[in-house]
Amino acid sequence: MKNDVMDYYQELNVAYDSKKVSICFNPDKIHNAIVMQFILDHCSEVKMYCKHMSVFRKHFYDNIEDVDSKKLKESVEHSLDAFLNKPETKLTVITVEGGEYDDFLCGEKMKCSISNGKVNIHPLANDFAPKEIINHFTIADNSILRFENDIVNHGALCSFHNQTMIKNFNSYFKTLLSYATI
Amino acid sequence: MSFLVVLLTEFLGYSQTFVGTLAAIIVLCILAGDSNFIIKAIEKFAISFQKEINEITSRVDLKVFTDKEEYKRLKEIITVSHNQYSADIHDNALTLWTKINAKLQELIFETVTNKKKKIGNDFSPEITNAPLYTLLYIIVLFVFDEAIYVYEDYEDLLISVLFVFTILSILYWLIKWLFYVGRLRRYIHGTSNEDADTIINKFFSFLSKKNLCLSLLIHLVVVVILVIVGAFLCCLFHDINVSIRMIIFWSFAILFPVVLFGLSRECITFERKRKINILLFHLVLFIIYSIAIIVLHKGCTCFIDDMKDMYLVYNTTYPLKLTAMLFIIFNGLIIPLALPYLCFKVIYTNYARRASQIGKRGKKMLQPIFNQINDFIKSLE
Repeated sequence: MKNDVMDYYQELNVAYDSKKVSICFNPDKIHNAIVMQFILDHCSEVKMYCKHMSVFRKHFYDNIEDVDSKKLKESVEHSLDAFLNKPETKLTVITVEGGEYDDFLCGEKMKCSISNGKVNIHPLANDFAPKEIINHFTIADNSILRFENDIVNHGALCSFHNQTMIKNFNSYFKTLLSYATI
Repeated sequence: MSFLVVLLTEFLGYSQTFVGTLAAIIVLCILAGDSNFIIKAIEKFAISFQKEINEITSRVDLKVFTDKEEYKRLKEIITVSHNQYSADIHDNALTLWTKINAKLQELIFETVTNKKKKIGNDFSPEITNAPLYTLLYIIVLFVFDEAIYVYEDYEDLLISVLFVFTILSILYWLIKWLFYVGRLRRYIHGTSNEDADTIINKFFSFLSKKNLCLSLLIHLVVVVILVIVGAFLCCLFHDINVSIRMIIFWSFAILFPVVLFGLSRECITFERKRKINILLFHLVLFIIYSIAIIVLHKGCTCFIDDMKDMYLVYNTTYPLKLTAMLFIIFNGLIIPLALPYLCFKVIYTNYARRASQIGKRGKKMLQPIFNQINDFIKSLE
């Protein structure tokens, strides 16, 4: 499985570097974490619509089997730390649920980034009913789009350089942002 | 000969109290604060319609598509049995999977409005600008009413100026409200006029970058040309019906300048913010223009006999008083309240229709992809 993880990262790298429209499948939580790590390593502006940013939380990695979850958590945490250290990076997240920020990877740095505006978290209004049927997605630098179609297993499609889809999802993000409470 | 044959030396008369009461109500609506009952009512409409739209969207059920055998089989190929197939087949399956899921997402978002784009005060400065303009109009009306009473000898001139000023105000707000409805149409169809790059837009963009004097000078030149053209046409067709000639002349003198400048300015200035200075500027400009056009008309009558037929003659000021009252009531109270309500209703109906047709539309949108999925699955067997 360790090789699988590295292979998958490499597969994403090839797709990203090719600058051509391509798709990678993301079947589970492990691959979700790798995609996020890849995005943090390669992109500067990330926009996410998700339930409660689970991939950035420590407990997300507790239920992962097949791989060394501690190592996976550390590598994502390392990438997140590097991302937050870069001056030009920005993370904007629309969450379905609000919640505490105690459980985050890079705890203190994350809190600091939230307070200085590098990380913006916008919980959706409770009365916004469609949030339950809208698939979670992530847009990175207008070049990577990851959108889930299996919320339980975190199964998703990772599309590279598909400008039409990215444009559409950017407009969905803008619409969702208008329903954010903060 | 006077411009108007007036039987009364009082213009508003006993209606002063009524107009004063209207002014007292309208003054509550000029600021977007808690006292503004129009804004409060619009906010309530917005919340209620937004809630309705949310409920419609939450009822959108895409299971009719995701429960299809083809969909389930494709999902299985990608998630479970992908090792059985070559990379090419897996890539094709992924492409189809992406297509179908992107379309499903698109279907959901077709029924989700953008909350920020609501037809409220943020989007429509007219809702507070119209009462403000109306209030200023009432003040002008009172001033003229007093002046007509004090300067009886000039009452015909004063009423003519007030008549032109009222017509200009009505046309100005007619254009503004038409554009308000136009913005709603663009909002519903998801298009914008901000990127329009026509010659008129370029001309007015050029004007707005230059100083106010140049802008006024160009306006004045265009207006004088239009009045001269109107007068020329009246002389040219002096043997046709006087009413038609009156319409021609006053159209050139009042209607065309307002339509020309009003429409083209509205085309380039998609007003999101409240610009009171522009509103005041227009009001002052209309007063100056009303005085100028009446003086110009009087000047024309000294040289062109045919122009004497162009007098605005009434036996009573009642039609003008009635027009002014209706303008105050509609522009100050009814339209700012009713038009946003109608707009919300249109938006709601639009989304309700889209949501109710989602199964039908989805079938139309997704059927070609389902056909491709079917062909793909068959090719694997």
